[in-house]
Amino acid sequence: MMLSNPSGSRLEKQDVLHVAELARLHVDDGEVEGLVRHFGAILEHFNTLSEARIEGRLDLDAVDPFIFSDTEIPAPREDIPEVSEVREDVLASAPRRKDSFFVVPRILEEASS
Amino acid sequence: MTPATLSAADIARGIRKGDFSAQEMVESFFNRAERLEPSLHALLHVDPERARDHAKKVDALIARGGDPGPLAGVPVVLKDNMCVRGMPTTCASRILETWISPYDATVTELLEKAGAIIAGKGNMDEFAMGSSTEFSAFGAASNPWDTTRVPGGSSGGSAVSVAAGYTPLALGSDTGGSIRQPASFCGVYGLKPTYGLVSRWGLVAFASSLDQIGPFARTVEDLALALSVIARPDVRDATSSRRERPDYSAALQTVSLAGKKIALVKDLHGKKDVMSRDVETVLEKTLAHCREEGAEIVEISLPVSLEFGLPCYYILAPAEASSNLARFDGVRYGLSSNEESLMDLYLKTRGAGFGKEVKRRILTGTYVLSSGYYDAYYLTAQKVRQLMKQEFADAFSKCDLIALPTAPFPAFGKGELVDDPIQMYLADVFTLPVNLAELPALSLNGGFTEGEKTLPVGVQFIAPKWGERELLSVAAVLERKTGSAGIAPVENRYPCREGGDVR
Repeated sequence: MMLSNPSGSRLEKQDVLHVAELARLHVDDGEVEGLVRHFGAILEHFNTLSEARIEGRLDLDAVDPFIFSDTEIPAPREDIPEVSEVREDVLASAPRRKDSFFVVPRILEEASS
Repeated sequence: MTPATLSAADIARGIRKGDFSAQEMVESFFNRAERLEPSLHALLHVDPERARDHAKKVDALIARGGDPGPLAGVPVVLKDNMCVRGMPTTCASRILETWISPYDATVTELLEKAGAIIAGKGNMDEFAMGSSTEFSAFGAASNPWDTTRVPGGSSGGSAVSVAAGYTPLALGSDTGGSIRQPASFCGVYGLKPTYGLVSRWGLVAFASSLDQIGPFARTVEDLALALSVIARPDVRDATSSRRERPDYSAALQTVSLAGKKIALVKDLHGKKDVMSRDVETVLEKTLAHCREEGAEIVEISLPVSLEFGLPCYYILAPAEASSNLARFDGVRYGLSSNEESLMDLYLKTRGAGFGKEVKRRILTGTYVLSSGYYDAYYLTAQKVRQLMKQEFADAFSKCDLIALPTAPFPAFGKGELVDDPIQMYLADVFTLPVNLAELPALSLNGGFTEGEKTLPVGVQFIAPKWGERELLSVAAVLERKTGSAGIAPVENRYPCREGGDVR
């Protein structure tokens, strides 16, 4: 779903709730108004970039966004198996576990037939 | 003899010579922290048993004629987003309140291998998002120079631990200024290394293309010592550089600014109007010292970085954060809401576990990456980032170092900016271009504000990539001229209770 602000400059309450759902983040009714205001201010700030492009103060046409010419290419590690002995420590912090598994709510219904 | 008055180098030398023991140093850390924590709240966790046990081992090794390493017996505070096996790593967030790290961060391993004692975990803004340490879910930290003011952030607790004399050394992480800005507010040294110099393994990720771990200290010697210990290649961090690291301490033996070109940015591209007069004065004074030491002061301009760095950063960092923080879903660690459906588990756990600034950034990041807005925001910001890198590269063809204020203002009052996030973001305007360009930068205390309760004011030097030695050199020259960073007069200014609530 596209959000309802074609100009990208103004988000309404339902837009914020939609973004919150995309982010898997429950937002209380009491928080929504503040977030709408925040989005209003932050997007206005972000729009200084597009305004500067229009005014010709920021020329991005020839810029490749993902060139990392000065970054070293990571060397692959040797494929040597290592023993990890932290499984029990990791599971010790699990909110819900069964044996060596994390327990989550059921996501598939049982077949009805 | 306490960590309050000794440098890390002095402690390690004294312990190796047998002048005092690691156990004494650890006890004096806990005594001082216990006395001052009710006023400062710099620490989120301590583990006295673990620290005492390590100190005993250091002392025993020395008794057997062994050498525990260059940080023998030095108590160190780690920001609470770095893992120490068996200790909590909360990132000052409710969502990780119950999580115990099952492994050590690389920096933890390196520090302990060098003989350091992990004495405590520093308070911070939740998930390192903030500039004041007020966004800690476990209560704000206070500035030791004036406890009604913030210590800066997000690594506020680490900066306070060093400024208030709990420890001579602490580690922070810097994504947009989170080491340098609290160093400035607390009057100590803070170094943000080149991206890739220090391993991020075991650092809870905020914005992975920007995050970097670095040290706080009160002397340049300690800063170099800490950097020499933690700057190591690490196969567990794919962005860790394999290049050879120099001995940063050796670089301090013969330092001079003769012939060095230090650049100032003439009109700061419209950012002078948000800058306090004290900050301007301190920067001018510091540059005058550099000139007296033989440096040539030249002028450069950084229009893209200073005009557009802030919106660029506040698009890219939240975008990366929204992705990195997706892992906190209530399944594997920390807080978890007991729900019937998986969707509700995600929504409720994250809604209850994250604080308001983290929520703002996750939502901003999700929005700028969402369908229809990606090009307008995320892609545009990536392009601006490339221009900024090029702008710095061009600038360094005309100078060796760039001097900027660390922050536009000294420590602000608690509560002043907490409900005005965009004003708060301005605190990072001079620091975040450095992260976007992957450069190293050092903040040192350049002087103090005028007035009754004087506050420290930082000056930031920026070097080309891998130029940490140049940064330490200029800091060493200025230290020789004006002295090391002092301990904040917290005990003289504020009544400090006996005993405290150190957890």
